Amino acid sequence: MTIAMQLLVSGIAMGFVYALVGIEYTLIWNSMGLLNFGHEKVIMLGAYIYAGSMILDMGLGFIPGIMGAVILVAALGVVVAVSIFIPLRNMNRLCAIMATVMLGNIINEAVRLYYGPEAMTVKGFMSGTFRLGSLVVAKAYIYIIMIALVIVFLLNLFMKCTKVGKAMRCVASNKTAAALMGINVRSNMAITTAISFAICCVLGIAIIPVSSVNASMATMISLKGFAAGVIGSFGSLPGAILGGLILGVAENIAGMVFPSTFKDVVAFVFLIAVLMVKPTGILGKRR
Amino acid sequence: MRKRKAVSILMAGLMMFSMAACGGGQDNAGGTSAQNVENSGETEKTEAAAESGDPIKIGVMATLTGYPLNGEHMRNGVLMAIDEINENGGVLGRQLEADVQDCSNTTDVAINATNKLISEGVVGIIGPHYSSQGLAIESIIKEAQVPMLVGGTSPKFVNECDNDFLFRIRASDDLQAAAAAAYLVDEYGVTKVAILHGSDDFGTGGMQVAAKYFDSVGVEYCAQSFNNEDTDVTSQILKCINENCDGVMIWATEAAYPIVARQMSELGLQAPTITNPSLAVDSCLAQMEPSWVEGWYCVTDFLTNNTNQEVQDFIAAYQAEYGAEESVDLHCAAYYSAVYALADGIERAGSTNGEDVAKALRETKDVPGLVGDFNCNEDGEMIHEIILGQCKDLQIEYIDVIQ
Amino acid sequence: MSKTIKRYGYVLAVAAALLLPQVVSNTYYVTMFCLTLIYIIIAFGLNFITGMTGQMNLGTAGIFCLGAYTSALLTTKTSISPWIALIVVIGVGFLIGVGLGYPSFRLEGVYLSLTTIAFAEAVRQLANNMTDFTGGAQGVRNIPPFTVFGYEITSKIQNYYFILAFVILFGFISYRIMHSKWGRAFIAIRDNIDAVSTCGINTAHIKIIAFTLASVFGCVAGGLYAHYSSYINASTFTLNLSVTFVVMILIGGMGNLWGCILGAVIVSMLPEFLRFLGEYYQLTYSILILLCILFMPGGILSVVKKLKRKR
Repeated sequence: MTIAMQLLVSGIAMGFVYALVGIEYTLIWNSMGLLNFGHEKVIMLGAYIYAGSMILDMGLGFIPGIMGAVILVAALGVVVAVSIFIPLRNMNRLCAIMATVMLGNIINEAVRLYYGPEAMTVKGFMSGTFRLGSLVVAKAYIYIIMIALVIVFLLNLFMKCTKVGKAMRCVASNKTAAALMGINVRSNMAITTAISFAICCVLGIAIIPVSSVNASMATMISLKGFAAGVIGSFGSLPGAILGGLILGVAENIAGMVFPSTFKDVVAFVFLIAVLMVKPTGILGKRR
Repeated sequence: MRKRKAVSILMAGLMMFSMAACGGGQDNAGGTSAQNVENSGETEKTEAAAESGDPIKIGVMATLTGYPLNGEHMRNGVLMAIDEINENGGVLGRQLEADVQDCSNTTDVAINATNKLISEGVVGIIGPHYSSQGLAIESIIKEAQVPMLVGGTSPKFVNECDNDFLFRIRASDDLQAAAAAAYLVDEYGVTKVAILHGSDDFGTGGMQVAAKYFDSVGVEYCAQSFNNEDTDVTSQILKCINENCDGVMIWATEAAYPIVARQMSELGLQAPTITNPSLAVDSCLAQMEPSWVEGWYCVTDFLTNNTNQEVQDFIAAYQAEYGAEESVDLHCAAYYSAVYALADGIERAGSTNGEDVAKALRETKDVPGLVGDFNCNEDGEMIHEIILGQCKDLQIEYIDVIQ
Repeated sequence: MSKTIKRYGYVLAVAAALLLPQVVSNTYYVTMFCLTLIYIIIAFGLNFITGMTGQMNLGTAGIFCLGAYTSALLTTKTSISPWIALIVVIGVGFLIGVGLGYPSFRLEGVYLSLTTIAFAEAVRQLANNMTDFTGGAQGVRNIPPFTVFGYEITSKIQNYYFILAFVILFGFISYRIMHSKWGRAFIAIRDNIDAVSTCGINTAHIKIIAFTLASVFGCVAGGLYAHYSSYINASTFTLNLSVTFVVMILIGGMGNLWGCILGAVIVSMLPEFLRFLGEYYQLTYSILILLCILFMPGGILSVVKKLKRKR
């Protein structure tokens, strides 16, 4: 029983990570109709900037470090949006996807050349555990869940209550109408990308205590984040959260039944199964 | 619109240029290979160059791109050794020259890199570090008759390869994993061992050796594997706790240690633990809290706080060359020594012919190295000793040498 | 007129390919050419589903992996001839094609590409972790070579000609299919799927055909790859490889055999020729490809065509 509870806890925490990935790429998808396959490397870049530059090089505290990293990555988001994403949105979707993959490769190589190949970590950052009876919960997991909830809440507030956020929703639903209403679609897209990149950065920082900072830290997380979005309902934020949680818990329970290395296989087979039964995802409306 | 067209034409031009460059390269290669079309190896070419006093080329296969990465350390160690040898007069009166090629972490890139090195007439190849790549290119160097000094530790090199040009400059997993397993049994009298291993070739190979040993002495074990990309090994550790394991053996690459060690301490899998050399790599230790790994044992090739004078000299020289903040690990040391072993082989062979060098390498005896003295046996194994260390406050302390 | 020129082009290309290893007999280049030829077969296959039908398939590495492992395991474990294994491999390709094609008529675009990614990742992880069956991460060793009339195909040059024969065969098959009823239906689905179904053509059926062709081509290439390299392990067949295949047909020019060939040649050779840049070669490669995609979305062939028209 304890084992099941323990796995449930780590499943939920990983589920929130997947959910955040789902949210981050859904934002760009809704705004530009572009699937950002480079997001894995953006997550990694965030972690590297925070750990490598902010903490180890400049010796900033945890909070200022996070702020600095997020601002830098968001600025990069604007640059990427203007130079790559916005020109790409009218292109063949295949071209667009491949271009984002190449963007990811470029970030990956640049990070390796700048920070060196060695993995690193930030000591004492969100470390330690809580004990609830026989249940052990890493503090990092609690923080990840809290950060995810805060981001979802703020994002919702931003989308519903600010002018820019409302414009974002407008652009998502109809670009021509949005442009006719006097919304600057291009700058709106740039802002969306910046927000999405900022979420990537926060995500990268949040998983440092779980996975330490290295080149492949986000590989599986980003793939499963895609899966989470699709399982929930593609393009919807609540769908991404629900999908993430289901996937996180399902793969951890599967790790108990099957040999543990097969849990990724279970996650992917689960994705295919969901798509076969209900192509629009669990929360999706029937077409 | 016009700008766009111009750029597209520019791009096409670039492509054409690279294709032209490729054509040029081919001509070149065609020219050199035409001289020895009938002969399978390029060794002829290097022999011809011997008289002219050209530098002797040594190929280095390092994982510079892709992940996991340790190619930089490997390259640094090799380059340093070559500089030292050259300052002392070189080999056979000629200078050594390194040709470093990236072998990434896929077999195809490794195969291309090997062929490139061979086509450039290297006398010997140092690397690759990963057994799977070594296994993929083993037949190529055999055909080309170029000796290769690999750092991969998979037992398959001996059990399945019949190759006179293959040498190994690190202690085999047959030795390392069995020694680690034996230490747990002999020192702690464990009754059930949890083997946590990576699902890559390295981890699986180590697990198989250890499992064979545990079977032979009648100790039960519970083997759990994890993928390199995994960030959560809760279920593996919980399974081990559930089986009441009283000893732990970990066999995985560096990337896994911070995750496994943290979760073991969090979930309370506390038992005598012994690991493979990755724990002793500084960049790996730097990612851990002292309490996670306190008292763990590890078998390793190389320790930075080994009091041996040569080791300390090497560390000082390395940090003088590449900066004091650079960590020195077994990758630097093992491949640094490998250059000396290869140079020794070439010197004794008296030529740069691949067959002669391989024969000389096979007779290697008592060549001093930082990871133990090189003594080659009939399987091409050159190192037969490993160090046992214990982790105290994130420092690995030297305990014993196992022959 | 233009048709005869095209015919000459094909003959010239084949002649050049036949002569190439005679001019450049260096093992390094011949090995690279062999791999390029194998990739060309995959690009031909991918051309049907992604290039012509416009369905995003990012699971080619999984198809390639299954083909390679099927052939490798059959020949090493049961010691049957690689030729018989090749027939089984074609059967496997057929099954994958139908299996992957089935979701493709319910799913579109992003959904489909994620399904294919999931498929490829699941295959890779299974190959890596079913240690008893597939040899796990240590791979399959000593895969026997093909034999032709009692001769073993062992040297690189023999391999080159052997694979080239397959490339020519599959190139011919592709050419015929592209210019058949199927080929026109593929393109019509990409351009306007609703119009196709109004014409009374069963789009699901056509999509499955395209998928099956792609996976049979991919599996055969996998089988050739296994016997050519004699050692395979799961670390080769990553998502990166799938991306590489798509980049090939994208860079060359989609829906065109010349584009496939050009793309496969560039993508597999360019990183090797950038090796002189040392540590920066992967970075340079990625930047070049990104610029190509941004400024030549129609592939290199489209630029060539534009220049021609100007003249």
